[in-house]
Formats: sequence, C-alpha cells, structure tokens
Amino acid sequence: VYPGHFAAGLALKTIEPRSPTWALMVGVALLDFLFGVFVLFGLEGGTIGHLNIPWSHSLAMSLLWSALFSACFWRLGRRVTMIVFAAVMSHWVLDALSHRPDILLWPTSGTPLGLAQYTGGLAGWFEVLVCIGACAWYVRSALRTNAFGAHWATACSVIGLMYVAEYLVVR
Amino acid sequence: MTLDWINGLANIAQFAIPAAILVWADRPPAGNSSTPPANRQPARAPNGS
Repeated sequence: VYPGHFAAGLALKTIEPRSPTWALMVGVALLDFLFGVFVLFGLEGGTIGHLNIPWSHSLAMSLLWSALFSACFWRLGRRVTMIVFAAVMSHWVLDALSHRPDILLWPTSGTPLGLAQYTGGLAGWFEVLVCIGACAWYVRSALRTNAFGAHWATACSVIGLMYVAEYLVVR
Repeated sequence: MTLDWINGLANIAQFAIPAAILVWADRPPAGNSSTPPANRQPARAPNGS
C-alpha cells in the first residue's frame, strides 16, 4: 500500500491542520523506515509477498513505535499527538487489510494477519479507493480552509505517480 | 528477490523522496504563511459595545 499510506497522511492533515506535515509523512512511513533499518541489521527480510517483519510491523510493536514517535510531539498538544499516533498506526491498519498474511500480533506470535488472502484482487481496488478518497478529502479541505495544500495538485499527482510505480514494479 | 541491505536503503529512499515532495506541496498558500501554533488559544471577541 505504498501510495495509500501517504494518502492517509494527507487525510489526517485535514483533521488537525496544525499537525506538522513532515511528522505525518514520516509517521505514515515509519514502519517501513524501520523495516529498512532492520533489514540492514539482518533482523527482518524476506521476499515480496512473503515478508518477515515482526519487529517493524507487528501490532504490538506498531503500537510501541506509534507511542514513541507521537510522544515527540506532546508539546504541540494532545490533539496533534493523537493525529501523529494515528498516522503511524494507519500504516498497520492498511497493511493488515491489504497484505498477504505476514502481519503478526506481536513479534513471537504465530498467527499472521493479512486480508489479501481472502480479498485477492480486491486489495488493489481497495488501495485505489483509499488514494482517491483521501486525496479528494484533502483537496476539499485545502480549498476550504486555505491553511495548507498550496500545491494540492502536485500532492495528488505524487500519490498518483506512486500508484503507477507500485503497479509497474509489484504487479 | 531476496532483500539485502541495498534493498533496505532503497526501501528508505522510496519513501523519503515522495515524502519530501508532499511536505513541500502541503505548504500554506501565499498570504497565509503559517498555521496557528498548536497551543495558541483563539482570540476572544471583546464583550459589550
């Protein structure tokens, strides 16, 4: 759900415009940043479709990473902190809905989650819906509030390009 | 494709680049250079008059 994560971040920006955009963008990608780091250290790995990601993407660790990262923004207020927390956790939710079963509840649990085994090709359409819905919501709020999204067309184009790139590489 | 450390770096980069563009694109429009600080209370209208 490569572009879907960022689209979710844009949608969360509309709920609390005072949230730092960079924090939301880092937040929605944090679990994959950690995956990259853990791969470097040999803790995680695998192949596309059969990922071994217990430390970066399990539910318990995702909650921990969300809490640690959002705590950095406590001084900006409870609402911003909660939105940043939601940004990180949105990654887990979207992955659990669209991955093949490789999302664990905790690092040593034996029951991987991932609805893609049941939804099949619908997972791709689910991502399209997430991207379109989130971008539409973002543009609507940007035009209404005039508080963010000066280049909303560029933002939406980036989401679209990411989807095309993902489609060409993964599918 | 087995993931090695080069793929780990690529994984980081593929998120960092679009994230940087999105942060730039999300700037407030000209004439509204910043959003209010998170802890600022809204100004209260004066009573009376």
